[in-house]
Amino acid sequence: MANKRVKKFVFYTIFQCEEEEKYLSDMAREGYHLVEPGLFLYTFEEGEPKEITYRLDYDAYKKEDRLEYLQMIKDYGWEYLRDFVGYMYFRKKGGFEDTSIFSNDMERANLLKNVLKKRLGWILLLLLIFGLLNLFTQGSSSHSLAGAVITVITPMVIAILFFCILFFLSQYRKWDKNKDKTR
Amino acid sequence: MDEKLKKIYSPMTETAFYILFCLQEENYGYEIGQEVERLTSGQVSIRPGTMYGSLKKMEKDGLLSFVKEEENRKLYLITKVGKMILNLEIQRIQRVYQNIQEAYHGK
Repeated sequence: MANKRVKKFVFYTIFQCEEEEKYLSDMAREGYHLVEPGLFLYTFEEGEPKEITYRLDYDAYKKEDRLEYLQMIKDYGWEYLRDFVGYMYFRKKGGFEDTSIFSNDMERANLLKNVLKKRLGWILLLLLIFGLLNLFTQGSSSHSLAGAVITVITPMVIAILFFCILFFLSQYRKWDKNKDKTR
Repeated sequence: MDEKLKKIYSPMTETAFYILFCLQEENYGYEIGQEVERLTSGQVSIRPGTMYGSLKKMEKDGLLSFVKEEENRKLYLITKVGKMILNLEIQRIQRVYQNIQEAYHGK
């Protein structure tokens, strides 16, 4: 029998993964079990309330290492739910406090830093590409429709990317401060 | 021996120490964790993310080597360098223990 599915608006940034873990575990306690995470809408399935701990991990592994990691985590009794934009979702029966993937927050913070560096790298690369595109299209006449679109769109993309970086850095600063406080 | 490795691994964390100690016989992640719990009567329990990170790091640093793979489980074994580092660490712990004992009984 298929249980009723509900969609909920959920938004947590990469710096708030602990809040997201708590949220998902709380939902399970109320009888809503995660089926699929999304960008803003998460799908849950209604069922029995259960004490299940959800944990997020960053997919920072090479392909061949990933299988090994997933097997190891399975051996430890975790169920691998699915991947979503660079996160791996795991769950396991048991209370939130005594069920974790990492022995201490330091390791998790280090892993997060690696992921952040990668993401920032991607954003900077995009910025470079669009910056060059902007430079080359500026001088040329925009007779064609494609040329016109490019001259309009590239500055917009660049502005959005800049905004992303600023948002990213402000969130990082907040996270960095909190991290030291809780340790 | 590599001075850089000495700097990193002396002293080493309890987690790293027990993993290295257990890998004097070849073993894989989850079973190493079980072995460590038996050895320490449950005092040291290593979580999977930590286990994985430690194994990868020590493999990269040449303390462990990959032996073979069985159903996605990789078996590791301590290397010659790893053994030297482990022995150094055991000596260090014994020295600490002796000093503490002497200080205790000397009072």
